[in-house]
Amino acid sequence: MADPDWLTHILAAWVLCRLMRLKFKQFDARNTAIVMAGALLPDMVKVAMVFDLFGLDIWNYVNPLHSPFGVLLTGGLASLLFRKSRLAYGLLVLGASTHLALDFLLKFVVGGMPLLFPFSWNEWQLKVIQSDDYRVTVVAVVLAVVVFAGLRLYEGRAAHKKEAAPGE
Amino acid sequence: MKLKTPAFVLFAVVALIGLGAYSQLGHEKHRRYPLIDDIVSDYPQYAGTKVAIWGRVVETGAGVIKVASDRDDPAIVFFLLTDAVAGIGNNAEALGTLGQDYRVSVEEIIVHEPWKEDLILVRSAVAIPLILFVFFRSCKFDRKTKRFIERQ
Repeated sequence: MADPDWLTHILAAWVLCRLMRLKFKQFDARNTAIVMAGALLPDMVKVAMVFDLFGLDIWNYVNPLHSPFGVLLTGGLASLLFRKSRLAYGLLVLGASTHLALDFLLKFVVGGMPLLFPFSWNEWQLKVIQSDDYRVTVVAVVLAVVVFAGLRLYEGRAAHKKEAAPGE
Repeated sequence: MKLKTPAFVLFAVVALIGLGAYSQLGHEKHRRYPLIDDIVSDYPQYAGTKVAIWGRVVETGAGVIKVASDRDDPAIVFFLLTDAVAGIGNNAEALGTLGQDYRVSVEEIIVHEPWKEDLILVRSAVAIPLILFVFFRSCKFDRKTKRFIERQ
């Protein structure tokens, strides 16, 4: 199973959280970190690569981990590792959703995302990007830098305004 | 209804095992295209049908790309009839109609250069220390409660 790389996945999650923070203050550094961790959750399926080394093919068995339904379950289990487990569950699933959304853009000759598994065996793909296209990572890095710099500037100006008019 | 933690863990683990088993058992039945092993073992049955082929490019020529499947015994080379460009050593996946003598009239083909595939692993490796740093900068594991908690 091919994927965009993990760097792209965690950067996409970070960018999303930083932008959402403009509206929702809940997306602080800690919660952003949980969303970023959630962005790697569907790739628990890659544990099959370890089994490959021993000549064991378990891909079909673990493939559901890379589906929305599987993510809801693994996210639920992972959320129990957090003190605020309900909040963590939402954040992990949000992160995992960014992962699945990115993977949905991928192009394969055969296959795609099993969006409705186990209720349907159909697989879908948008055929937009090739899995090994490094330009996607370049775009993600540039976007992250732009968002980082842009928000620094925006927040700096907002703080300056606040200081200038403390009574407001 | 408030689900207690052990009950939820039991439910989720059983559901995941069930999903895995369902996927493993039903995969064969829902396969859209035959495996290369199936084609080799009963070629006439699949001649004229759609097949999905993948393997390593071993030779290229005008309008044809020769692809060796990862099958060793016997080694099988498919002749992909396509104008697509591929280099020797590239990996190719193709969908097309199987003709005579392992010739496939390609409808769709994707070629992967090995260095680009290797680069995916490198980029993913870079992400590991990054996510660990970001995560443990704001969270720590509390041994008492056995949960991740916010760093003060």
